Amino acid sequence: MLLPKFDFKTIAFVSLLGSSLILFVLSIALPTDSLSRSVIAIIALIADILAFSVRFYSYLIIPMVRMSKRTIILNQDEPYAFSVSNNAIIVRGQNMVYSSVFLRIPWYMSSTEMSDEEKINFSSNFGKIISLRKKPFMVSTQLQMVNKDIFLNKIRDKLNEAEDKYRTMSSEKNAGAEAMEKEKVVKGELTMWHNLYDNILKTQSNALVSYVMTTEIGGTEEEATNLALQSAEEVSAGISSLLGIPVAIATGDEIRSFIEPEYMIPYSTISEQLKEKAVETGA
Amino acid sequence: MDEESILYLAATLAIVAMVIFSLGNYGPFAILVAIMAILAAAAIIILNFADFLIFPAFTYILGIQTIPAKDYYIPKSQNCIIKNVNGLYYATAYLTANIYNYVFTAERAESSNDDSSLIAGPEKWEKIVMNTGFPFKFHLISSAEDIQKYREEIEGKRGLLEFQISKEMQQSLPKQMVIDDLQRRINIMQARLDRLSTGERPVNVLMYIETVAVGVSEKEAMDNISNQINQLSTIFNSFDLSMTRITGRELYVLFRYNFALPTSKEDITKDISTQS
Repeated sequence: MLLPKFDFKTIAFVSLLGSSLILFVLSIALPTDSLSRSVIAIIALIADILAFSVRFYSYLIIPMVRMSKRTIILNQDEPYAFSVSNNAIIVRGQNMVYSSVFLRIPWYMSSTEMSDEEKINFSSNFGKIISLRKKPFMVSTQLQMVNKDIFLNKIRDKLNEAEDKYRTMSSEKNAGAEAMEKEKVVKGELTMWHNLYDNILKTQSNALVSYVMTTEIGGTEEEATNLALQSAEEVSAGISSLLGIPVAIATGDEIRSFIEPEYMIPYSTISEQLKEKAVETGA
Repeated sequence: MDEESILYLAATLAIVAMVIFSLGNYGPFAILVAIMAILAAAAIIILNFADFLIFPAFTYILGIQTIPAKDYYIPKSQNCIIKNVNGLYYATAYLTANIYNYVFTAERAESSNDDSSLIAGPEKWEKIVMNTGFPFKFHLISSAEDIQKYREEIEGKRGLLEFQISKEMQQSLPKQMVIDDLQRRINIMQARLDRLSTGERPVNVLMYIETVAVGVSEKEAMDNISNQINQLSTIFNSFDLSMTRITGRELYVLFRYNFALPTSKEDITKDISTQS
């Protein structure tokens, strides 16, 4: 369960408060020495503080009791799962299922391209977008690193080809003038691919992506997902009419790019940069 | 303060008060019990208004880390969430982005045609994006209010102010400063009603910024994320926002919001206090 929603909170509060009250009564009523009464009064005060802390930290009580090796485990499961239709994510609460749907907003206009009137319209329309729903929904914009893996792989292949060609040519003995000329050309090509690969690897390219997230709850996964898709369609229609752009429901990897940190900074793109940085620092 | 806060505070502080009023029962140890009672009252009040100070201090001192979900963990400092992906540590941290609570230019009736802020908004945002060299997200969780209920609230407040103004004017020596102040507040209420008439809907908004940093070790990732947080506070200055790094309980709440939002405004209010 990723979203504990306990009535347990009220029970815990009442129990701790009740214990505190009982201990306080004992501290003034017990016919013992003043030291014992003082200790009981102090324990009553500690129970009182714990009773108050239940207000915010009731979700920690049982995990803290089960704590081992200074680690509190709130949940060992995946934080979410994909729905059967792959267009929503599911989070299971205590008795309910939460389903979230994401809408990608394909907005590509820069403010440098807008006139003052267009900027006013955009700002006003944004104000209307955020008032589309009574239930909470999220409008987000993320600046993420571009995943250059596919592009880098293609350049790496070209680089390897050029290297093989150059190695073959330079190992040929008794090469004539024409062969020497060709070798120079291949060497130039090799240098070009090297430089291109290094430049693209070192340069960080960013992309700005906007999206909307809506969440609904239901007794079952199907019910929650259907409700969430319905809400998403309503919001999608509102945004499309205000901004004049088609808004589509995100699926699969696109949803992951909105919620997983390794999609904001692609592993393969950053790991090369970090390795080089480590080598430079080491040198 | 909401009703739940008042109930919790009243119930727990009542017990502290009872202990203090019964100090006579503890003989020579009354002073010790009194000190503990005062500390308990202070702890309860701090927990109510600033629990984000106490819980991180508790986990830091005891060296406790928290696991909110598989592959993620919150270190003892409680100021970021870390995910290990193929040996790289991804640290995620959050900043509040609260708008300061003052009267906006657009609410001054005499300058209701001033669109400069609407023009400046997209320009400032683009400058921020160009100047930020690392990944970040700007989140806005919004829920629209009931227009009729909001209108009735505003009209009620305006009615009360008009009653106060007429009462002041009926005095033998009416104070001009009081009248001016009441009139200014009536103008603000009227400007809000006018905005409702033009079709604007009142909204409740929670805004925060999320950023991700990476490192080959946990320490490097945490240092990088702290640098990024400091840079974001500087870069977003032009928007005049109150920005505080989120720690403790609310860090876990915002982590959960990545995957499922609360389904009512009241749930958000229960989850999030202000950390600014």
